[in-house]
Amino acid sequence: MSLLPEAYSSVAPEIGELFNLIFVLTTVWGLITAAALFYGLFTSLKKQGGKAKYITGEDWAQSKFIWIPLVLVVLCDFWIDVKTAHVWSMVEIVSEQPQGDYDIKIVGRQFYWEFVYPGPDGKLFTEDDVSVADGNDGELVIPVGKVVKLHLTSADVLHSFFVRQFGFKNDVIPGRIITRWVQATKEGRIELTCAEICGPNHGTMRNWVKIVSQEEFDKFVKNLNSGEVAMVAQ
Amino acid sequence: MPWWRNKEIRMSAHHEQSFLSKYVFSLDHKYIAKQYTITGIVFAFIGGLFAVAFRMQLAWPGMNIPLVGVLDGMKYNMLVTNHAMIMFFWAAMPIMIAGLGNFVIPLMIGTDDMAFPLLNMLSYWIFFLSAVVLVLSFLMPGGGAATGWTMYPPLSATQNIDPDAGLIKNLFTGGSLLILAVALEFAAILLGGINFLVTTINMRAKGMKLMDVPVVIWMIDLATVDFMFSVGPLVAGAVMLLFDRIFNTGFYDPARGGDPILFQHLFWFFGHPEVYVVLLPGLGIVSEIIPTFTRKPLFAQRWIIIMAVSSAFIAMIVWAHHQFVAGIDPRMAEFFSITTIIISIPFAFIMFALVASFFGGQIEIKTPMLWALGFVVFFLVGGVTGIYNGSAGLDMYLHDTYFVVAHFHYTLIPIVFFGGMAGLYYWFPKSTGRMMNEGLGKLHFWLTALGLNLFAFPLFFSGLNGEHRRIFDYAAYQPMMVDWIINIRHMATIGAIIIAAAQLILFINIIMSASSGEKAGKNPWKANTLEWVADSPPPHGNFATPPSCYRGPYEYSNPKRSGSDFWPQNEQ
Repeated sequence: MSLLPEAYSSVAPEIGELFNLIFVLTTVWGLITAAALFYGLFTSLKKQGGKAKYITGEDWAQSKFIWIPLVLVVLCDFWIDVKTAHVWSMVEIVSEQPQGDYDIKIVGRQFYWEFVYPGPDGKLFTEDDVSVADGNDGELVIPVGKVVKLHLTSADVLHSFFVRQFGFKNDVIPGRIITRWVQATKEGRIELTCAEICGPNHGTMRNWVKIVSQEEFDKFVKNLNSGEVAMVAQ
Repeated sequence: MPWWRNKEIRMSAHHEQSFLSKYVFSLDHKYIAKQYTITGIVFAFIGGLFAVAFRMQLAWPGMNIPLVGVLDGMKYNMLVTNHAMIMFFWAAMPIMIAGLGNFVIPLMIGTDDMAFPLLNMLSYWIFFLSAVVLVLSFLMPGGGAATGWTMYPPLSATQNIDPDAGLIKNLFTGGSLLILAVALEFAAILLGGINFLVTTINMRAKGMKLMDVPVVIWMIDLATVDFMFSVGPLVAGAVMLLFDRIFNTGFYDPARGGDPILFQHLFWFFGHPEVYVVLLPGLGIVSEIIPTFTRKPLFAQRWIIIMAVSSAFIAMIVWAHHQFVAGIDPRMAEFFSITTIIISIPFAFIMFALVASFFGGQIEIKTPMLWALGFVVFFLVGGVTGIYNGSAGLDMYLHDTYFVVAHFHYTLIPIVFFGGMAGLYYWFPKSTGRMMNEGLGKLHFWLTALGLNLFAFPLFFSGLNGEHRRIFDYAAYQPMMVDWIINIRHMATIGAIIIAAAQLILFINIIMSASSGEKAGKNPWKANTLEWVADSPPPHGNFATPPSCYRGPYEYSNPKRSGSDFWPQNEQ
C-alpha cells in the first residue's frame, strides 16, 4: 500500500520517488540513532558499586563515533538536495516547464473556484474568454495526456490550489498570476481543494477536476464557445 | 570593583521586603521567574483547552462542546489561531526563555541577581499587560482573530474591519488587539533578553570562563540573540498590518500597490528563528540533566556549543521554506531548501552527542532524566520528519497537510513540554526546597508520552494521504471521510484529551510537593553547577559568599577526583 494517493499527473510519480528516497534515508537514520540510544541506555544503567567512564568526547578517538556518522548524514543531505532540485525545477521553474497545449485561468474567490477558458479565438487573456464557474457548480475540465498550463490568481484573499492526486499545490495570490502546469495521466473525477485558510467558509471551498478524453474535451470546448455552458453533472 | 558587585547599589542586598515588593512587584529574579512560569502554565492550560475543543469538533463534527458550544467555521478558525498564538507567545516564550532564564542564569553563574532587576520587573509586568490585551482580544465584537496564527494578509488586514468605521472601532477588533498584544509580549521578552546577555557577559563568578558556563545558559543566550536579530522585521511587518487595519493603508493590498507576500517574508524572517528560540533552551535543559544522571561529562561539550551557535546562525536564513508554494520566485526555493536541509547537520551532531553521552555511564532514571529521555526520543521523530518538509519538491505536496501538523507537534511538544518538564522536575527542589514526588512524576510522564504519540503519530498518515489542515468539517471531502481517516481523527482527539488530563497529576504533584515534599537540601542530584551551592530555596541575593569557579560544569567521575563521582565548579 502506498502512503501517498494514487497518481493522476506526470509529476506525481516523481514526487512519490522523492518521498520514497527521503522515507528510506530518514527512517534508517532514525532507527540507527534510536537503537544506539536504547543500547547505550540499557547497557549503562546504574549498578551497585559501578563507576561511570570519564569520556569527554574531545579527542578524535572518542569523537570519531559521531563525526563519521555526521559526514554520512551530510552525504545523504546532498543526495536529497539533488533529487529535490530535480523535482522542484520540473514543476516550478518557468523556463523548464514544457510547452503548453491549452491554457486555463483559475481564480480563487471567497469561497469558490472560478475557471476561465479561452474563447473562440483559442487564446486566454482576451476579451472573449469564457468563465464557467460562478459558484460551486462548475468543475475544472481538462484533457488527459495534454500539458495544461494553469494560470493561478485570486480575486480577494490568499487561497491555495491543491489537487492531491496531482501531487502539488500552489497558493493563489491577488494581483499576481502564477503559472504552473499539469499533464494528467488518466481520466477521472478528483477533488480540488483550497489549502490556505481564507475565512470562515474555507472548509467548504471544494470543487472537482474532471479529466476527460480529447474528444469529450473538444465537445466541452465547443459547447463553451457556442454559449451553452453545459456543466458536467454532479 | 565593578558596579554589579557594589553592595551599596545592588537591590538584592536589601533583604527587608514588604508583601507587595516580595510577591507582586518583585525585583528578585527567582520570583520573577516564578511569575513568568506560572503565568505561562496558566496560558498553556488555556491554549490546551482550545486545542481539545477544536479536536473534539474534528472527531465528532457538530457536537456541543462543553464551555464552547457548537462550533462554526469562524469559531473554529478562532480557536486554531489562538491555540497557536497562546502556545508560542504566552506559554513557550515565558516558560522557556523568561522563566527558565531568570531562574537559572544568576544562580548558575554564581551571582546575586540579574544586572538590571528593575528592568526585569518591568519585563514581567509588560508581559502581564500583553496577556490582558490578548484576553481582551477574544471579547471584541466579531470575536478573536481567526486568520491562522500566521496572520497572512489580505485576510488578516480586512477581517472584522469596516474601512468607514474609524480608527477606534477598528482598533478594538480581535485582529488589531492581537497584534498589539504580540508587540507588547515582544517588548517584554526583549527587556528580559537584554538582562540575560548583560548578566551572562559581565557578572560571571570569579574564574568562570565562557566555556565553563553551563550549556543551558549558552542556549538561552543564543536563543535571545536569535530573537533580537529577527524580531525587528516582524515588528515592522506587524505595524504595517496594523496600519492597514486601522488607518486603511494599503501596504499589503495589491489593488493599491501593496504586496501580500511581503508580510510573509517579514513574518517568517522572525517566525522561523522563533522555533529555535524555544528549541535551544529545551536542548540546554537536557544537556544539563543528562550528565547529572549519567554521572559522565557531556560528550563533546565544546562542539555542542559550536554547533548550537552555527544552528542559530543558519536558522536566520531558512525562513522561506514556509513559503515554497506561496508564489515566491521558484529559484529562491532551491536555496532555502538546501539551507533547511543543512540545518539538520548541527542538530544531528547534537543528537549524536547526547546519545554518545549515555555510553559507559551509571544511569539513574529519576523523573527529570525520564523527561529528558522522552525529549531525545520524540524530538528524533520530529527532527527526521523535518527533512520531508524541508525538501521543496516534496513540500509542494505536504505543505498545509496534517503531516506538517504532526511534524511540528513532534518538535514543539518534546522541546517545550518535555524539555520544560525535565527542567521543572530538575530545578523544583532548588526553587522550593522540597523534592517532587517521583511516582506521580513518572505517571505524569507516561500518560503525556502516550497522549503525544496517540495524538501526533497517526496524523503523519492522514497527512501523507493529503488531508489538509484548518478544515472544521470534512463532510464535503469524500476521500477524507473513509473509515481509517475518521479513526485517525478520533485517535488524535483522544490523545489530546489524555495530554490535557495528565496535567492534573502535575498540579497535584506541585501542590503536594511544595507543601509537604521531602526536604531537598542544597544538592539533591549531586550536580556540579553553581546553583546547587546556594541554599534551597535561595534567599534574596542567592549566595552568602559569592562562589568562585575552578572548572567546567560537567566534571563527573573524573579520575583525578578521589572519593566522589562529582566535582562542583566551586570546589578546588
